[in-house]
Amino acid sequence: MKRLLKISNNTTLVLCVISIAGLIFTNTFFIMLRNMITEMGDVESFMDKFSIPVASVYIIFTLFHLSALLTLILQLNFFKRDNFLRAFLFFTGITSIMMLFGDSALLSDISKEYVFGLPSEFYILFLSQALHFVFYVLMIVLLVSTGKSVGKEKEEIVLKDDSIFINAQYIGILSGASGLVLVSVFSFMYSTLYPLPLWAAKAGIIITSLIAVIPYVLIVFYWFIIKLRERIGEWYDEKQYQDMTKASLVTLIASIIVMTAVFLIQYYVSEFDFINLTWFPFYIFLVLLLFSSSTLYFSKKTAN
Amino acid sequence: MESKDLKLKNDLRRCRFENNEMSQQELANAVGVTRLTIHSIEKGKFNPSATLALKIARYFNKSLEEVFYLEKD
Repeated sequence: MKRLLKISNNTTLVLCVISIAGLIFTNTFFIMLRNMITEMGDVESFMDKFSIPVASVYIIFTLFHLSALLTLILQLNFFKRDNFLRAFLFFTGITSIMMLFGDSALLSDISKEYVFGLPSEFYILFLSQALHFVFYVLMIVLLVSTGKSVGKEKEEIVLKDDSIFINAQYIGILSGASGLVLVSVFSFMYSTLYPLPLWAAKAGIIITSLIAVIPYVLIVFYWFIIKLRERIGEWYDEKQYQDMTKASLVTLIASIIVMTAVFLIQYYVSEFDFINLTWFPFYIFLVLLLFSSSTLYFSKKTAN
Repeated sequence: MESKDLKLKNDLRRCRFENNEMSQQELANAVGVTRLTIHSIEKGKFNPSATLALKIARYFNKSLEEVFYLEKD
């Protein structure tokens, strides 16, 4: 395990450094492409010239993401103490890998729409680049900071793990909070500032919801795979049951209060009609945020 | 003294040290809970169930009262 983690750490570090160089290259290309579109240059031949190098860099990005996610899973198993940075990187890593496919769709749209002027897809593309950059830089921080402790750390036998349980709560908080923000901002913007046809708004809400929830689904799935070797009654220990019971009560009360407030606002304030379209993902992300944060609070409160 | 003033205390830390300075993780593995649960019991922030308290006492070959006791808060 220790050897495998060391190999995975080093491979990911090398791929990460190459990917940062690749990110500088692709962003230079995107900025040049944007300028060329505004200056009405020969966009087609410019895109043809750079399509293979950009695609090659994206293959390296994909390899790095896969290697990074493998390293994060190995670290989750190896280090038996929870670590917010690791959980945050798991969340941004999954989001970033989904956005790699998003980038390709955005570039395809840009290549078709540039003839009508500067496509608005550039804003999402640059937001996605910022997300990749944050993931790459923080991944280097994690790899460097944990690289030395892999050698020193004793391989402890842990029959009942609590670090994945705590990390799942961190990821639940990140998924819930980002889902609430994304769904609210998206639906508010597209129902007021940039009106969209209903089908497009619905598709947008589904896509943003999926991007936010998939990291949580994956960590829960991973936890579920680990728990399959235990009997259902032993999936949690008694303190975890107690923490989750308290968290469920907090979630029940707080979600009723928030959803009542949301209902009253949309009932009396016509500008908040967009809630009609998004109440379901809004409710799901609210419950996820409340449950994960209160479970984490009760777990940490009794441990400190 | 009213019973509501009494709080469950324990000698878990001493028991672990007397038992070859075993770690919280080793005790957690032995009684089938997480390390965080043992840590919380030791700190007096979590009251174990009767089953878990008995399992811990039995592991150290002690009676329940030798490991867990009530004390005025």
